[in-house]
Amino acid sequence: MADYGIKISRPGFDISTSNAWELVFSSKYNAFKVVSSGSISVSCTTYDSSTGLYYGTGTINHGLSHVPLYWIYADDGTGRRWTSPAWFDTSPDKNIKFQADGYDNQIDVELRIPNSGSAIVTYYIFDEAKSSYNPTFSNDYGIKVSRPGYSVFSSNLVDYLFHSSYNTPKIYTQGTTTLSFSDGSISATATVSHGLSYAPSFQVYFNVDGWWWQNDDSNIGGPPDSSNFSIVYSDTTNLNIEGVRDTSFGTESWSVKYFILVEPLN
Amino acid sequence: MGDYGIKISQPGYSISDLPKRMVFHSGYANFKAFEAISFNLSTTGGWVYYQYSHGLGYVPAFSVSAWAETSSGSGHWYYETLPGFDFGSTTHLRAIANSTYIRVYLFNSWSYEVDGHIYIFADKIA
Repeated sequence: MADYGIKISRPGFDISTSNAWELVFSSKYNAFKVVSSGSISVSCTTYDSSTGLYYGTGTINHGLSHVPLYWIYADDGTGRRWTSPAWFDTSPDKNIKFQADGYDNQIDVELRIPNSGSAIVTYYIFDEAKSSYNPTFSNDYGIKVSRPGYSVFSSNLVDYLFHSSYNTPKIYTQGTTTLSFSDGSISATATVSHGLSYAPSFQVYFNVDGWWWQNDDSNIGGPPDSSNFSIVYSDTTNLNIEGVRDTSFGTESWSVKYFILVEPLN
Repeated sequence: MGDYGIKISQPGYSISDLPKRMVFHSGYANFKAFEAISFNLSTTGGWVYYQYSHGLGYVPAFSVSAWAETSSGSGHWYYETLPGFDFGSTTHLRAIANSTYIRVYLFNSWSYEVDGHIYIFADKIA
């Protein structure tokens, strides 16, 4: 592909020689476009004796009539924002169960939280979809970058790499940290202070034995490390990361890569 | 950081507002998706996986969505975005990556089929 278009490098990086991951923006690559975002309140007042948590359900009616990619987070009522799925009941002060299941016109939310009350579920739904997406644009101005071979007048949002009518996830900061397991312990924690005045959204990946996976819960498991799991939440001060391994024997380290986003969860 | 560059505010917000009110802000990097891979996975029981060779030489950030019909021929879809794969209590998916491959694993005790997309970003995990 010819070297044209819009490119913005990070401070200190040469725009003509920077690698793709060193760029703030490149019109060569697709920017995920947020077509719907918001939050719902889920009342969790039904006591669930099997978990000792308070149960509630909610529905996000996105009304898109297609299968979208989405990111979703829940506030457990104590100011901690978790990704789905979260099922972490090995430590009493972290108890939560959170599962979000999507359908072609809605997302169903199921929550169990430590105390009776309301939980806030925040979602970001993207244009990336099972099939073409043809929204009615509210305006036809701004900055638009179409995919090669497609018109900037296309009515199909997926034909665009960037469209200024739609928000894009912005990386506030990124970095690496380590979960260090001591001999005799199955869990390890790490905390990243983010310096924002609100709880931000995030994407986190873990490395064990050379493979990286996103945080998942003890209910899923699976190869290559079926008994290892992890959980992440943000609050107004920190990104909090915890890993649980399949043995307490010996010392062990997991690498963690985190992306803290500008997009808020409150 | 100096107040220069490209900023696009959300409708109703000033260009001088907080970054979270911006559609685009050149002071903050975007996730840059360079490839979307379609996959199909079916199992007759147990774990199976789909593997894609991304050829980047580094571990890229990724996101995965998958869907299955709520019942065969219904035209209605049950979908998940990773992390979040559960499809009820009997079906599980997870995705992993290294500097060569991205794999998506599917588990069910019985026969089950899903389709999905793997979004691979230029942004680097390691």
